[in-house]
Amino acid sequence: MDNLLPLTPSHIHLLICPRRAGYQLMNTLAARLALLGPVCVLDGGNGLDVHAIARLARQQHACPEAILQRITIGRAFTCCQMSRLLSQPRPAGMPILVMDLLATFCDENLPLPERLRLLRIGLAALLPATALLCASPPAPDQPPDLLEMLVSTVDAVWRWEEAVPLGAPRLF
Amino acid sequence: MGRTVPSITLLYQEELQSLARFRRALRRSDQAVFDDLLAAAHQHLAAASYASHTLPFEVFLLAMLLEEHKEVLRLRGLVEHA
Repeated sequence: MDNLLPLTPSHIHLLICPRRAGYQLMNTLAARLALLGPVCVLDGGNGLDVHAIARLARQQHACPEAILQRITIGRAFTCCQMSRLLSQPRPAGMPILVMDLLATFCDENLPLPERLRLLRIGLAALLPATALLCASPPAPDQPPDLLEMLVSTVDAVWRWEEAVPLGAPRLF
Repeated sequence: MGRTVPSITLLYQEELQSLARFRRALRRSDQAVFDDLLAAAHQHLAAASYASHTLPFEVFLLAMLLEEHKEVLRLRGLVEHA
């Protein structure tokens, strides 16, 4: 997994993919990175699965408790909390994984300009870090502004593509 | 604010789901024995929940072993008193 998603130091990467696939990828990546050292996971969609990470650690013949202790978890349930989590200072060099970043920013009780402001503040505070942000494509009734701001801010964007099923091979 | 960790009952159900194909491949007689083992784990869900182990399936296995050992002790008692 870490070969598939190579994180460049001091760069912010964005992965745009469906929610469920994003959770699986980020849980796997969190486990792989935790094998190498401390990692920070900010969870905006309550998708962090510590049991899955423990199972992955065991598959790699590592102690699950030791691996989990290397993961610093921050959970946000509102966009204000997410903005604050993104702005918190962290040790230099510690990779940051942000799961389902835009989930909390889809709160329609808050005006869109305010949500955009909070996202801008959070991203500006995050900028010098090595980070992978994961966001799902906006629903049809959601404005694309949030994702567009993300795409314009980050250094690299990866998009999830469904595997195209191969057709039956032709004999002639 | 929702749960941040799934409940032990949910984890137990997930383990059952992951073993469904194994169970299906067993003989009918073995399926009944397999169900007995899983029922033994189900009896100790409260303790498994309290344990909050990072790998819940290991606790389920221990719960199965516990019930098996209780049966061994019961049968040993019967043999010794016979």
